[in-house]
Amino acid sequence: MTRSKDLASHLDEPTRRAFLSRIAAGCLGVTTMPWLCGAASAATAAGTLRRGSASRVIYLFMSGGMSHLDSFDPKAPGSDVMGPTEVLATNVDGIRVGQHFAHLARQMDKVAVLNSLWSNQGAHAQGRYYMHTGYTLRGTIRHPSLGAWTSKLLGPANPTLPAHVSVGDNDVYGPSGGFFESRHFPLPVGDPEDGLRNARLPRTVTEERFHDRLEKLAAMDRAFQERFQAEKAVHAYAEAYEQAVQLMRSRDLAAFDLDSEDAALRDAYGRNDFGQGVLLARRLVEHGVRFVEVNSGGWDTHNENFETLEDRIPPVDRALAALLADLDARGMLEDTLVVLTTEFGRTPEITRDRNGRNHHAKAFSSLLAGGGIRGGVVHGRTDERGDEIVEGKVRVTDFNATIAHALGIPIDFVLHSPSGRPFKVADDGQPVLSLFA
Amino acid sequence: MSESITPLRALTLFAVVTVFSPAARSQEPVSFRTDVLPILEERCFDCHQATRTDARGRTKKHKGGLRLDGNAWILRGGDGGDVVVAGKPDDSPLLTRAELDEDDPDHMPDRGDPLTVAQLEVIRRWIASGASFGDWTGAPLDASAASVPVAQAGATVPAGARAARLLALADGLAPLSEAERKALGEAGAHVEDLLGDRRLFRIGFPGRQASIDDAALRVLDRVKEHVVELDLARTPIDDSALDSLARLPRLSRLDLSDTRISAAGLRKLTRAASLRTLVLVGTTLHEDAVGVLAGMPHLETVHLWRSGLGDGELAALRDASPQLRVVGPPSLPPPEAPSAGRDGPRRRR
Ligand code: HEC
Repeated sequence: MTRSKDLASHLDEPTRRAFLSRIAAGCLGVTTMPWLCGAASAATAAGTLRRGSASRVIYLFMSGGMSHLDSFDPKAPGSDVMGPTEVLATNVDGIRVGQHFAHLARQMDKVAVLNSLWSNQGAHAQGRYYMHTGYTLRGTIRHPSLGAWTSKLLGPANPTLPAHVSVGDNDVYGPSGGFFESRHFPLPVGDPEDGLRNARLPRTVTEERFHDRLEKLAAMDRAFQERFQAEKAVHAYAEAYEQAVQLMRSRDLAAFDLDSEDAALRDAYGRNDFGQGVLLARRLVEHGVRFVEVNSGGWDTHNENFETLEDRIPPVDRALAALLADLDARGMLEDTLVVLTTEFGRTPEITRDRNGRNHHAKAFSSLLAGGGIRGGVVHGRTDERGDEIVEGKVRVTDFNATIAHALGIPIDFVLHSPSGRPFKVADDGQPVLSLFA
Repeated sequence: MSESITPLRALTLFAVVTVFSPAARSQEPVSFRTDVLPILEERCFDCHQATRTDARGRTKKHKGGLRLDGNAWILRGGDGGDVVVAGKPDDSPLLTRAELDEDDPDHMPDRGDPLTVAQLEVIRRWIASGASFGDWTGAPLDASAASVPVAQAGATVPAGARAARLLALADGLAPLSEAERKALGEAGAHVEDLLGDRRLFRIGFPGRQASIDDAALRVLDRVKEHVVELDLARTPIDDSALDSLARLPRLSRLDLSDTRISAAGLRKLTRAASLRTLVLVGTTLHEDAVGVLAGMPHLETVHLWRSGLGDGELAALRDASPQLRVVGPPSLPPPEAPSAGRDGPRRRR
């Protein structure tokens, strides 16, 4: 049935070029969707292209499990599953959001809502890992996340900047280079306000301290590398170091400097870590970074769900609304894919004792915007309690395949781990093609 | 499909399979035209084809928003979305609804006998093997396809609109040669292949903007048939560069943000045959730009935030060109009130 072409166990530069020209040549020997691969045909009869129009991604991750009912899949206000959460109309007829998304409500014409995500990983680390990599967490291997695949297969758009950056408090179950070389690991920016200020030698840090910081990059995967590729890791590490040093000297350091943004715009994104992180993400993709993840924590609302969300949502609402308006005004929405996602949703039942919601992986919500995604669209539906998916199920791997498709990463391209096992960008996921313009 | 197959059933199944369906007999590939289409024609078309008038003069519209009489229609799906997911029979309503119990309200066909086991198997294998239509196209999409399914009521663009536009642009164009591609690379261009078949490209110079001048842009002449999107934001170019840009026949989107471009330069772009989107953020235009922009024949969207044009001028442009999408300053969330986020409804304790 499906026979995917296996081009290389890892892509060095010549291989990457071969890979790219392979895509360009029309077909990767992919037979799952043969109509995509006709001699000169770049499209299906229905006019679906082989890819969306994204060149870059801003990926916002709501760590802890964002309640779908209180965000993008609200049910009848006043019903028992909604608790005190009220529902807002948006600028798109038929799309409604939870009450704390008042700013985003005015930008929903740019957004596709997916209300039928499905995962089978109901614990945090596992869920987060699955969402990021498309593979379940195992003891023996570390898989690359979407940002690492993007870095590996598409490379940096701007050669003096890393392709993959992570902003905020990400742990090892989040963005990661997995078994790829260190240069595909995200460059971590802990505090967006700080940017890479520490990298400006020798003002605030010693070379040694900077070295330490880089080491952290590689150390995330140290154990794995030791087991499988001790020698290669040394190379990769040296490479990452060199790349970062190059970066330090680069004029593009300005990309990390939020001070050059207009104060009113900074206010609009919100003067908090997440808001400034999202603004930084916009600056970075503008300068040619391919994939920026910004993390927002604290969504694990077992206790006082409603009170917690009253604090959690507004900064995200504000930052995302500002981002969409800003990208649109700059003409960047066409080639920038914006993703908002989480590891799972939360139960329709509200716990009596703690007024909270528990984990709910079998139905949850995410957003996509830009990058060739149609706005003002809702995909998928849950039942009237938000409990089960009744229409348009999107597995985690399908969601990731949709992101890959937006970027033009072929979902059937196989890379091998150092131990020789085959992996794809979204495992067996299939993109939701109806979301694309 | 969960009941076990009795010997008798197995026998009938075998007989049906061997006698009626050449493709189902072995592991030979299923052909849409010879194996699948006849089943759909016989059992589904009655309710899932183009709107028509029956013998008694009643119009009969396709049901569930789904037409099955053309490959594009099948791929478009019905009100509920996709009906065929290549490689995934169990996720493809075209099959799963026919496999449902006969008394399930969702069972298809909606009338008459259920499909035979052999017919179901043919459809299953067709989807599992990639759901290729071979050379069959059937009825093409028409305007009614643009009416979006219910689940997508607010959609800003119909599915496939961008695709259709790009494909039209690429029509008859041969892929870019390796030598030309190389030349672009050597000139420091970052290149994105928009169709994935080397015909249409998005080109920019991230990280190298400062060194892009008219001479550097000469490389574009070598690939001029293939340039669809061009990002020259933050480069030191000025009006003189626009003569050659106007001659790029497929240039649809041009970003000139933060450049020293003027209305006189923009006037040259009036000749650009395919220009649909112009990004002019961070420029220093004057009111004379309004008339120039209004006079661009194919322009659909122009981004004019911080372009030197004020609200009055943007309004004048909208008046002069009602079809044009004039994107001004972003409507950003207002600054945070000290108590923001705390004015929700009463908390439940
Ligand atoms: C007698 C009329 C009739 C026939 C024959 C018929 N259908 Fe349907 N079909 C309907 C109606 C009515 C609906 C919409 C209501 C529903 O979804 O059940 C529908 C809906 C569907 C849908 C869901 C579309 C969507 O996206 O919501 C699918 C899939 C489908 N039919 C497949 C088939 C297949 C396959 C056949 C042939 C094996 C078939 N139908 C034959 C009447 C018919």
